Amino acid sequence: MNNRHSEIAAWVMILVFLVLWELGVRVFHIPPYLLPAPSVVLQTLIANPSVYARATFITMGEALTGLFLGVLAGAVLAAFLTLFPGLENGVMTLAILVKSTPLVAVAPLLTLWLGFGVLPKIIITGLLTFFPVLVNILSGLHQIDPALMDLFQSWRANRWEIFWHLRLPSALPYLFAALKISAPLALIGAVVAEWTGASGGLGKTMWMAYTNLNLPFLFAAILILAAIGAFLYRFLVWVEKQTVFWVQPLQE
Amino acid sequence: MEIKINNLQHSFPGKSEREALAEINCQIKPGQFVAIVGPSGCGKSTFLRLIANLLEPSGGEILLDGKAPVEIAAQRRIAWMSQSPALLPWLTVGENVALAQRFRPPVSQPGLSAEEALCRVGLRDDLDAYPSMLSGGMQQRLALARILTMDADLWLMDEPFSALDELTRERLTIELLELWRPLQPTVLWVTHHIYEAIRLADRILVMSPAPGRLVGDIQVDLPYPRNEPAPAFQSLLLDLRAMLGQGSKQLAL
Amino acid sequence: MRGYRSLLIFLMVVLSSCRPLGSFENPLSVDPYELTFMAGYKPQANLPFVGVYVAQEKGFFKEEGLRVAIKHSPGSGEHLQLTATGKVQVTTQDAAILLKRRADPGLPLVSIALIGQKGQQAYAALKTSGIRSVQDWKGQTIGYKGTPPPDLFALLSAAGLKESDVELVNVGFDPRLLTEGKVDVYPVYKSNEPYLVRSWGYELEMWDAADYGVPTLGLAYVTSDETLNTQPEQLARFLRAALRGIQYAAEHPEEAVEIVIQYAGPETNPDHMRFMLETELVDLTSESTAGNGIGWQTEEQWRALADMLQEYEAMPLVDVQQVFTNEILEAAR
Repeated sequence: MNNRHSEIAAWVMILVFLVLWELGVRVFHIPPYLLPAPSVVLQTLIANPSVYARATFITMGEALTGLFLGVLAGAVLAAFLTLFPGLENGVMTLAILVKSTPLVAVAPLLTLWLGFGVLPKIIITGLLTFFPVLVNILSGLHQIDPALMDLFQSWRANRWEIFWHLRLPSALPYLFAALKISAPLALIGAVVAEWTGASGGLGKTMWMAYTNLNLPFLFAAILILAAIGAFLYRFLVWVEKQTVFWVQPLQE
Repeated sequence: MEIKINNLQHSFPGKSEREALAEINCQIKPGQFVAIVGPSGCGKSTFLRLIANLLEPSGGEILLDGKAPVEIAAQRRIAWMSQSPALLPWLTVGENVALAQRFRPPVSQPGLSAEEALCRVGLRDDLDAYPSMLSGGMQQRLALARILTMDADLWLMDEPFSALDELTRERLTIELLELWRPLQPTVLWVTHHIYEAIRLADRILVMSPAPGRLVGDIQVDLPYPRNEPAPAFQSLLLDLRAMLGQGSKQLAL
Repeated sequence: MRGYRSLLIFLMVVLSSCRPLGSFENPLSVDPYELTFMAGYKPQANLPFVGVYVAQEKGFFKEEGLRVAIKHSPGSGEHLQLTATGKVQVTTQDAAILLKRRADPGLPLVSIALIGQKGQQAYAALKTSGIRSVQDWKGQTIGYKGTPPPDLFALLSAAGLKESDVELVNVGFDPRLLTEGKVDVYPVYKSNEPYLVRSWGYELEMWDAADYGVPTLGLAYVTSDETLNTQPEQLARFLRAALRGIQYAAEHPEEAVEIVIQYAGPETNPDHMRFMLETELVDLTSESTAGNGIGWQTEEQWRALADMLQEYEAMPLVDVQQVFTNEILEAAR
C-alpha cells in the first residue's frame, strides 16, 4: 500500500504547486503575457478542444512513429552486432557520430530538403531514439546468466538457437529501460523539430502562440505535453510489467 | 556410458599460465555413480567441464563410449547440472522442463515426457508456475526433471546441492538416488562435501590441490541407504579425510 | 511465451498510432496551373499575405486558372532559399533584406511588386519614460533586431547623435523587454508590437525613420530570376489575383480578418490582425502607385534604399535594376 500513498502524495504536491502558482499570479498582479494563471491556461485548453486535439494527434504520431523506427533500427542493429561481433567497433563509432550531432542544427536542414510535413520530424525522433536503444539492447544481449549459457552449450545449441531462446528474452528488460529513456526524448524531439517548420502539431502551436505572445495558449500546449509524457511513461511501465514479468523493478 | 580419460591435462591461458589439471588417467564403467572430491580450486569443476565439452583440453583425450565428447553432446546424451538450477525465468515450470526437447531432436529415444518427469520429482501441480515462485530445493528438482526428459546416459553434476540448506540437501540426496536407480546412467558428481559423496557414490575419486591429479580412488560397497553412524561409514570418512589431508601424495591405485 | 504476447500487443498499439508517411495524391486534373506561395513569416495579416489568403478563399486564383499551395516560413530564411532554387514560385520579403541578399550571397531573387511603399520599421519608448525626441535617446539602451539596422544610424545622425552616445543591444521579438524596462527604446514594426503593448495598458512614444528623411521600403512579392524567365504568364495571373485580394481586403477589412484567422488559428487575436491590416494599408499607396496601380516600383525608391544600405552598412554594390521589375505588374493589368 506504499504505492498508493506515494501516488496520492504526488497528486497532492501537484495540486499545491498549482494553487501556489494561481495565488502568486493574482496576488502580484502578474499580467498574462508574463505568466498566465493555471485557471486561465485551463480555460484556454477547454475552449479550443479540436485545435489541441488535432495538434496532439500530429505530434504524437510523429513521436511514436519515430520511436518505433528508432527502436527497430537500434534493436536490429544490436541483434546484428551480436551475431557478427567483429563489426561492433565500426558500427558503434558511426552510431556515436550520429548521437553527437546536435539535432537542433540538423532539423532545419531536413525541413529544407523534405518540407514541412511529418517526414523530417519522424527522422529526427528516429535518430534521437535509436542510440539509447542500440546501447541498451546490445548490453542486454550480452548479459547472459553464465549458468544458462553453460546449459545451452552443453546442449550444443547453435548461434541462432542461443539468440532466440536465450539472448532475446534476456535483452527484453534492457529494451524497456531504453524505451523509458527514448519515449520522452521522441516527444521532445518531435516538438523541437516542429519549431523549425511544421504545418501542424503541438510544437507549431507553441511557436505560433509564443510569437503572438499568447502565453495562455502556449502554456496549455505545454500542459498537454507534460501530461502526455507522464502518461506515456506510465504506460511503458505497465507494459514492462506485463511483458518482462520475471524481473523485479527497482522502483515503480 | 563408458568413460576413458587418457593423460588429460589442462592449463588456462593468460599472463601467467595456470595449470589447472596435471595428468589424469582413469576409466569409468557404464552405470557407475562416481563422486569427485577435493579441496577448493583443485580443478574438479574444470575436470567436469572438460568432459561436458564446455572446454577444450590442453592435452590428452577424453573418450565417451569411444567417441569425442563433442559428438556425444550433440546426441543429447550428456546432462549437465550445476549449483545454479539454470532455469529460464520467463518460462513456466512445464516449459522449462520441456526446454531440452525444443532444440534439434536427439538421435536416440526421447526420455520421459515433461509431465511424467515433473511427477517423478513431485512438481506436477506446479506446471504453470514460474521458477521465481519455487524454493531453492524445488528449483533443483525442476532441473533434475529436465534431465529426466533427455534420456541422457551421462549425468555431469557440479556441486548441485551446495547452495541448499542442510535439510533440503539431505532430502534431495535420497530423492536423487531414487530417480537414478531405475535409469542407472553414469554419474560424475563433484562435491566438496564428503558426507554427501559417501552417501551417494559407489566410487569416490580424490583430487589433490591444484594442479589437480587423482590421489585417491575408493570403491564404496556399503548398502543403501547409508547411515552416517554406521562404523563402515565412519571409517570411510576417516580414510577420505586422511587422503585429502595428505594432498599431493599419490596413492597406488 | 507470455512475455512475447504482451510485447506483440504493445507493438500493435504503437503501430496503429503511427502516421502514414504520405497521403495519396489525387491524380491532377490538367487544367489549373500549380504554384507554391510561401509567406515570409507565420500566418498573420501582413498585406501581401492577406492578398494571397483572400485570393484563395474568394476564388480569385481559381478564376485565373491557378491552384496555389500556401505555405509559411518558420522565419529563418527558408523561404528565400526555397524560392531561389525554384521549389517555391512566389514569396514575400522585406525590401532591404532583399537588396542585401542579392548583394551577398547573391541570391537570384527579384521583386515583382512592392506592396509596402514605405517600411514598417519604427522605434518606440514607453510614454512614462519621458523620452520625447531622438535627442533624448542619449545615454539610453536602444534595442535592434538582427544586425544594427542602417535606419537606426541614419536616425541617430539626423538627430545629431553618435553611436557612442547610446548603448545598443540585440533583441529578438519580445516587446515585453520594453514594458519590463530591459530596454529604453525598442525596435517595432508599426503594424505589430504597438498593438500588443497598448493592449497591455501602456502608451507609446514612436519615431518613424521616414519622418527623418531615412528611406524605408516595406514588403514585396518576390520570385527568382529563373521563374521570372520561365513562368512570367503564370506570375502575372498570380499577381493579378493577389492584388485583387489586397483591394478586396481594403474594402472589406472585417471579412479579410476572418479569412486571416482561418490561416492563423485561434492562437491569434483578430483585433491584432485588424490593426496590422489597417496599419499596413496606409503604406500601400504612394505617389507612384497613384498613377500606376498598387505594387508599382520606381528605380528611385530602390536606389535610395540601396544607397543608404551601402553607406551605413557597407553593403556591396548591387545593380538596382536587377532587383526589381514592373513587367509582371504590366502583364497583370
